[in-house]
Amino acid sequence: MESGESTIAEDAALLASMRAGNEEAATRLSERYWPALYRFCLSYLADEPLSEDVTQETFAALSGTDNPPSGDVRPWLYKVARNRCLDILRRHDRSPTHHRPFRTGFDPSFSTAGPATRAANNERQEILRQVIASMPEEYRSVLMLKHIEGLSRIQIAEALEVSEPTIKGRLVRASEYLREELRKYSTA
Amino acid sequence: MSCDMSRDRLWAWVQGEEDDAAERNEIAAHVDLCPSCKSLIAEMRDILGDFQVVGQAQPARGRGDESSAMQPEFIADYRIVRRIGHGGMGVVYEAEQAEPRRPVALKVIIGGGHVSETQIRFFQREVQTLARLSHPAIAGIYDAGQTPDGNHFFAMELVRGVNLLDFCTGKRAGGESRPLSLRERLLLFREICEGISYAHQRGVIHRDIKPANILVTETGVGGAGAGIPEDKGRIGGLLSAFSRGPASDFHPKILDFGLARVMEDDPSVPSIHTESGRLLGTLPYMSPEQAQGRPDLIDIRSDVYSLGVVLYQLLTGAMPHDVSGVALHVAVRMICEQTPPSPRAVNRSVPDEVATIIQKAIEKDPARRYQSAAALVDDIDRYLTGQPIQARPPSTMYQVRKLVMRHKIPAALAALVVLSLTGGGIGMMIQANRVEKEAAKVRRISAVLESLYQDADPERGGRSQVTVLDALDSRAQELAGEFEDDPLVAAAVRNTIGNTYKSLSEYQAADQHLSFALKTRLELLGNHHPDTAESMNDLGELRYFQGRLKEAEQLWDAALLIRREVFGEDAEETAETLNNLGNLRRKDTARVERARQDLEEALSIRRRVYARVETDSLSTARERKIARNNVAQTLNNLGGLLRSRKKPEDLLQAERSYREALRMREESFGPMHPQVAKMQNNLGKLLQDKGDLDGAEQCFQTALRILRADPEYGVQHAYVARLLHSMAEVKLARGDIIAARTLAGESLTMRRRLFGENHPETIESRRMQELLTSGQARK
Repeated sequence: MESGESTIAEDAALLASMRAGNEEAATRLSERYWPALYRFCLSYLADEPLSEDVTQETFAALSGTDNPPSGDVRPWLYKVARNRCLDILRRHDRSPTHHRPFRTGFDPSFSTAGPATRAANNERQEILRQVIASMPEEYRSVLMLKHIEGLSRIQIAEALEVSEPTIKGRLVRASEYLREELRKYSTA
Repeated sequence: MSCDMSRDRLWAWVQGEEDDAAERNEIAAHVDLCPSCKSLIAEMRDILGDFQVVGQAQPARGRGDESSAMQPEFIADYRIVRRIGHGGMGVVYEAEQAEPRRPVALKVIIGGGHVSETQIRFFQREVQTLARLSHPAIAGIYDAGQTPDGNHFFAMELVRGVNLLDFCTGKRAGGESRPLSLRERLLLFREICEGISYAHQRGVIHRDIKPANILVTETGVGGAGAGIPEDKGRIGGLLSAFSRGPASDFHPKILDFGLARVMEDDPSVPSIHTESGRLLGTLPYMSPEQAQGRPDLIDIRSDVYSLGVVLYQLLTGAMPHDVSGVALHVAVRMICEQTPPSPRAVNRSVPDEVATIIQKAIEKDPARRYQSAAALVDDIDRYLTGQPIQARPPSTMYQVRKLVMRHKIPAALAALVVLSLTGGGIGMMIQANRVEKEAAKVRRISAVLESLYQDADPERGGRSQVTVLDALDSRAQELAGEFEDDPLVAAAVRNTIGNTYKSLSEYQAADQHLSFALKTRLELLGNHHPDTAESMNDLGELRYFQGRLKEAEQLWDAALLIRREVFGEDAEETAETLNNLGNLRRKDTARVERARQDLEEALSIRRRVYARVETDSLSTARERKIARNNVAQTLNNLGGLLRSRKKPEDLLQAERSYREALRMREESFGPMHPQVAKMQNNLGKLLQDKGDLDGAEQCFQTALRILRADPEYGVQHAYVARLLHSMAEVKLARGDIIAARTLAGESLTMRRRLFGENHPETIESRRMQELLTSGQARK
């Protein structure tokens, strides 16, 4: 979803309305971001009920917090959800990646390619899944927010609570890490 | 790489993260010409493309996507009649089984072959849970399986019944009928408890007991036409023939074991399900341990708690904690910390024993609850058969301890307060020494207790502490009897209790105790004694709150005389009464100047006292806070007086006073305290007078935000009423008559309930309401 200024303003209006008790506004906001946020949580937790819990909690927090986002709602949602996910993983002494396969729900039957291409694609994507699963959280989060969630650099910086230049650097390093790891796999 | 272009630059460029246009152009030109960079860029794009494919293929499950599912004609051998609900994981249909031919509720997991293993595990868990249970009060399972296209389903009995609450209040199948009597409600409830107890014996905890999950079926009314609730996947069928007791032609059916937890097996499942501390279940019925998201603490006693809430609601029509419209974290705090009003405080017709049973079931601490649903049934049966129940009302000692804990005072102080209230302590002291000396001790203890209450809620009307007060009250009556020979001790204790009632807006009870104390002190100490002055001052405050201003003024005049004489011109006691008098007189336009003198004198005394306390290295933080708050109080009153004079220079000084008071209160209480809300309201009113409607509205909204976040400030509060009135005024000034009318109406209702018809604040609201409905407002 594009997160242009009009969306941001709309979100802010919906948020204000939701916090004033308007259920319609709450529904609209959650319809907008629930699926994406759930997917984001799933990338951390690889556990559907748990990811749904965190998504739900994040929306509950949005209506209950004393410090609601002052402008853009999306980075706030990702920030809160990510912190919650990391909390859970920490509490259970798990890294976001170790022993937690990055389950994607990718379904080969959706592909339109022929059988041979599909097999090759499957293999490559399976490798990519493993690389993603084992990459450092700070790399994965920035790639996810940029390429899957479509957040701008400013928004990513806000969600991850770091500066914009840091995001740029991290994105470059994360992409390069991805490339190098994929090379290792393909030459292994 | 054969060229010297860095990969970092390329990565930034390919991902559109290069902000510098010149740099962008340079890279683009280079890539065009450099084959190795071109191939690298292609590789990068591939990687990012694949990343998107893999990442986006995440099952992004939306909410409500189930509802768009098409209704099939058949699922396995079941002919689908209609959809009757949907829940987190499944759709529920009313269906017909071919063999044996019977109506069933069919619960189907959504998503066919795309359903995750976790979802299937949960689904199967519900099937297995239900399969363990065969009880007339539990909707049972018939069949479970998987369709050829991979849909998991189970079939269970279809309950054609009415939601428990509706049934009890007379909204039954075939139209309205009479509400159930207390006895019938208890009989029905005990059957629910038996069903739950049965599940507990088989190792199943329900975890989501609430009226919506309990349907009542009536024998004789029967099948078709009886409502199946359109609730989330709540189902059932079958009219059982079990019959117990006189209310035997209707019976409950407990539904939805979807959240149930099986105690001994599959430990991984519940931990996954609640790992994030999510609130499983329905908040108002949740036990504190559930509301806190502590799955490790949930056991059968959590169900006992929920049963207690259901019974509370069945018999009073209210919930122990009204969490509607309250932010989640506040609601959780209410459930965990607040003592709910006794069921009898809500509905006087609930018998004492039954109220005691409910209170035991909804104890915060699981160890203090009934230890099983069976024990709860036992006590209900005892009540129904006229035997003494096992539950005992919480002891005075326990309640006082709870009160003290809630106010978080130091342990040594707490012990002293508890000791002073349990009679034994006072008794021993009195025996050891003689009255005059020990009465002084008791007074000190009383003062501690009193400050404790007043610190916590100077103007609050919440009823949550009434049970505690009932206990203290009866204790006080006992003490008064016990110390017939020492009436001064009795007077000290009753003065304390009276002030406590006063601070909780329980004016009638306060009157009884404060009048008794003053009468005793006047008789025994005369009208030159500081204790007599104390009683005069305190009873005066009560009269003021009651709107009996003339009596209040007489009492304060008399108290001031004594206090000037005893404490001199530089004591807080003197300032306190002066402050009260000034505050009262400022409301009489003919005596504003006199009021100003009173308040200015009070302010200068209080500033001196504060300065003294601040520089005294031995003073405690608490003493400093009290002294600071006293200054803020008088500043606030003075601000109010100046505001009423409307002259620009007075308004300016009023604003200075208010802002200083606001600062002091924020310093004392932090920014989110009701005391700060009150100052925001006052400042808002001043700004409103000055025509600064934006500033005013901002202040009022801040105040309301603070009060909303404060669990103690319920809908029933003098201050909330005042604030609503203020907001109505701003709306009126802005010409928004509709909003103004709504706010004013709300304020008037509240004030009527709190003060009756003749209180000045009620009159103020009534006038506003008249203005708004007369059409004058538009002009």
